Amino acid sequence: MQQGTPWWVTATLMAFTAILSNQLAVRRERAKAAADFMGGWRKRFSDAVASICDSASKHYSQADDVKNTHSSSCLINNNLKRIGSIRSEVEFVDSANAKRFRDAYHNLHYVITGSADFEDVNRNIRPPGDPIFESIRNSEEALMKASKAKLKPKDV
Amino acid sequence: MASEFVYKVASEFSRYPGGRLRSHGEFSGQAFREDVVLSLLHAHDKIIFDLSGSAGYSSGFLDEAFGELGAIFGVSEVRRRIKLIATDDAEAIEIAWERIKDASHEANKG
Repeated sequence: MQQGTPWWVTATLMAFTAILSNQLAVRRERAKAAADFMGGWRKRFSDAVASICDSASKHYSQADDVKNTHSSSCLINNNLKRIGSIRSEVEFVDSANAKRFRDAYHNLHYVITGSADFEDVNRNIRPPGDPIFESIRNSEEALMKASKAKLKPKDV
Repeated sequence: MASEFVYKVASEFSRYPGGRLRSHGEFSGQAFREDVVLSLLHAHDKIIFDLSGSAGYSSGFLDEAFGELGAIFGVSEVRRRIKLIATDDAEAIEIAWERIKDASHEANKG
């Protein structure tokens, strides 16, 4: 009788191939889902940062915002808190980048809300050349740059 | 062991904490430190400040409310007596501790 490949070797190879193929497909799906999530996250994050920096600049330069200092500052505080919440959805792969990001966020927070007149109901409009506007822009840039580091969704 | 007194800032002080100084308006960091924090520290050995549920804290408020404690007591004593928690605002806690450390450092230099 002619000896061929035993049937169980063929069966084992087929099973192994099916399992491997399934595992690779699952891994691809997960990587795609993570990449999609990060794309959406970066958009939400950059929109939120841009919006808050615009609000902050208006807060210090527009007569209406100065008149409604309390509501304008509350809105900014709340939106800064929201940025913190968006940030908590991801984690940095490298801890040095996490620290860079945290420092940049705290700096932006301080530049916008740390000034003595931030919530002073008797404050005046700041003139267009006031250094705070450049500080806000620089802090925004630093934070956006820090957010470009390698990140991943927190639950992956 | 002495029990820890819990103070919920949003429900017992304000959901909308104000700015740095009293002269800036209601619910300022200065008012919080002078009227709430220092009185509580006088009455209790250990206090937990729960920062959850507010509409957000400005750096000025956190600096004045908690940062100044670093200058008054020193960071190690503040760490021993105060705990800051928040279920929804981890950044506020980080900023507050940064200000406490900075103020303590500044006071030691001066």
